[in-house]
Amino acid sequence: MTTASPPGETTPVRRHTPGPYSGTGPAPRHRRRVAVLAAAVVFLLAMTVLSVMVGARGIAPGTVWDALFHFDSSSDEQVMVRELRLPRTVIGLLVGAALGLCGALIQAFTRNPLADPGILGVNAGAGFAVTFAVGVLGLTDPTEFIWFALAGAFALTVLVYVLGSLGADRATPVKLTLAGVALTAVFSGLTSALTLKSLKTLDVTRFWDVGSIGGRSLDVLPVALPLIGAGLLLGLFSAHSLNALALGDDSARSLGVRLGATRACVVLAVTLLAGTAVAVAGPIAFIGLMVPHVVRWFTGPDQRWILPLTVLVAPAFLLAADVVGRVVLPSGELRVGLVTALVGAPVLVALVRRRNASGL
Amino acid sequence: MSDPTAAPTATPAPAPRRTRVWTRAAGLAFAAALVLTGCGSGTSGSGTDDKTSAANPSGAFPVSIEHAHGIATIPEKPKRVVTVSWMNQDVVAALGTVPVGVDKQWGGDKDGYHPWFRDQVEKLGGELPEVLNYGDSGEMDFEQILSLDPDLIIGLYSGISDVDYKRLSEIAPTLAYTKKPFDGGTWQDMTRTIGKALGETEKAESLVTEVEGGLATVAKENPEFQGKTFAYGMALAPGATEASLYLDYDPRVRLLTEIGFENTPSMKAIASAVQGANWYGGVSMEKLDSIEADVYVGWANNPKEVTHSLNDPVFKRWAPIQDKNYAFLQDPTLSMATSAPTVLSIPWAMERYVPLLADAVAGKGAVDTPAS
Repeated sequence: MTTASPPGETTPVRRHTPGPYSGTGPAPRHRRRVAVLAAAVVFLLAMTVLSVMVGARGIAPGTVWDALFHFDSSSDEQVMVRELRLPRTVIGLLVGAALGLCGALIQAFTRNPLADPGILGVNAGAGFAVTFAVGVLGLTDPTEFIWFALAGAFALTVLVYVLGSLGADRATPVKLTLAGVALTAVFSGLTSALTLKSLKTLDVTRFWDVGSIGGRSLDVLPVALPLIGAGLLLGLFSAHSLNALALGDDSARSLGVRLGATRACVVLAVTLLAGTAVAVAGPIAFIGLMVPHVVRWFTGPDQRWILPLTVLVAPAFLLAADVVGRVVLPSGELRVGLVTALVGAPVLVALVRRRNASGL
Repeated sequence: MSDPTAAPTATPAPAPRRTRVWTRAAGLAFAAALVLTGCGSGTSGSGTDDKTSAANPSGAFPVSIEHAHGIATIPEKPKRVVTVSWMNQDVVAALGTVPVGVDKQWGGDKDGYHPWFRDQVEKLGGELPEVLNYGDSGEMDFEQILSLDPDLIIGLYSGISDVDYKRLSEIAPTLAYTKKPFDGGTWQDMTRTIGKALGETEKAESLVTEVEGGLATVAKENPEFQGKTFAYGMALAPGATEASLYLDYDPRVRLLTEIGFENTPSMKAIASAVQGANWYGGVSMEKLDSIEADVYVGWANNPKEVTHSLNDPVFKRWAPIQDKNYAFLQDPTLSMATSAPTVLSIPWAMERYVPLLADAVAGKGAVDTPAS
């Protein structure tokens, strides 16, 4: 059973070919998956600790410990841990989980292994709305424009969905993808036009248009946490239906899956996750594309494993990339969106060249 | 529009007045100095110019000036000058020629002119120049420049590429930056170079002496500036993880050193890590305290950035901020006057800048109130 394969190649014959993921018996595979789960948890914990411990400045582990548990506001270094590294780590965890799950959902949903959260137009919608808020309405603070990002993400996703649902066979993944790619192009163009027209806009959005989890304040949490939480629940809840969807629309329907409801559910989850993540951190590339593949190498195509594991592994990846960005430049810092893009580009090439690498 | 028209108004009070102005500036408020200086340089300038050109018509020309993209040869005294970078239009006007085309000036009024430039043009009795168009990605409108029929194009503080240079120099002799993009040398160098190009070497020299005299006066009147180390930066925008600080050859940094301050030696480490033609460097917020400075001077895009910077949990603990030894410029016009100092903008700026700096040194944390 394949989860995701390029549109047009979803022949049942191929799916039932015995392979490493579908041929082996259930018992050893289950044990392996539990081991993978344990490893993912350890990886995530390790990266979380690393993200608090490592930065542009060497801060002694003892000081970090004190900052967390015996906070002394007169120590500069403890303040740095609390005010710079802690928010960064928390936001990284949140955004990473959102982006990862979002990518996994979209890959499963569109049956396109190269899909990422941007493909349904979510990022472009959020990006355009933020640039509009900054360039035309003059907002400057991320806590102010988070709502714009969400509204933009939501509006454009609905537009993509409506456009992709036109015609006889309703909303097929291919049509949704096409609509998403087309509208993304249109709205990215509009965003560039707005940015290029005004230096002031460029100046405010420059910290935002390359994704970053640094310099963000935890003020966004009260808004972002429930939204991403809802998105995570909704997304994880869809795992079972997505497994059925992978068999093709007809088989899924005969298995009792309500296609319309499932798709609406996934699209809503994707909008909540990507919209909020983009609003908080800006567009961070490749995490949503890479991590589900990496996870799939270990778990096989069962969405009930892929989705939750991605939620664990993606934030760990994001934090790792962020830590690299903090230490790699002699002065200043490299934004995490750049690091993930640098790491992601070769991974993307590898994925395109070896389609079977992901067990498709 | 250039010298000939300016000449009649020019005659009354030549050289002596100029010296008087700066001596008086020592005692007087800078406001008075500003008005008089503007007058002095403009009027007396055109006067001398008239004499030299009358006595020695072909005198200095042709002039050849070397720059990063080649050598500009100016056959005769330019009458229609187009400037394509910051600062240059001020110098041209100060030397008595009203440019026919200028860049839209950042921090300028709604028409795109700085107040000190507008004043000077009015004094010369000239017409305000046409503002040059730029495309979305900063490309020049060569046709517009051609239509202005210039006989000299000046971009000493520009970043014009060799391709742009080629096209511009087909239109008229063109002065590009001297060494690196956006490094036109000190404001003194710039004044002298443009003076040479316009055949106004003497006038340029006396303008430099005059303005340097004014700065020396400021330094003398504010002995507390002497030897104070400073870092000049940009206010933090929401989302910034590092502070941007300007390197020692940036004009705004140089200007502070001319009134007695000293650029913090800590910037040396930053400068060595900066690559390419960048004129500023970033310091991670976690390493901010490695920059030791008595005073922080910064400019902000808007008042919100100032508040944001002063409330940033780490930035506000940095010694110069914590001890209120900071001066923030949030008025774009003042930021521009001090970031791109010229013989015209310096006198305008000092009366506003000096009190802010004095407050910063005194630990009174200064933020300017935007001029209306």
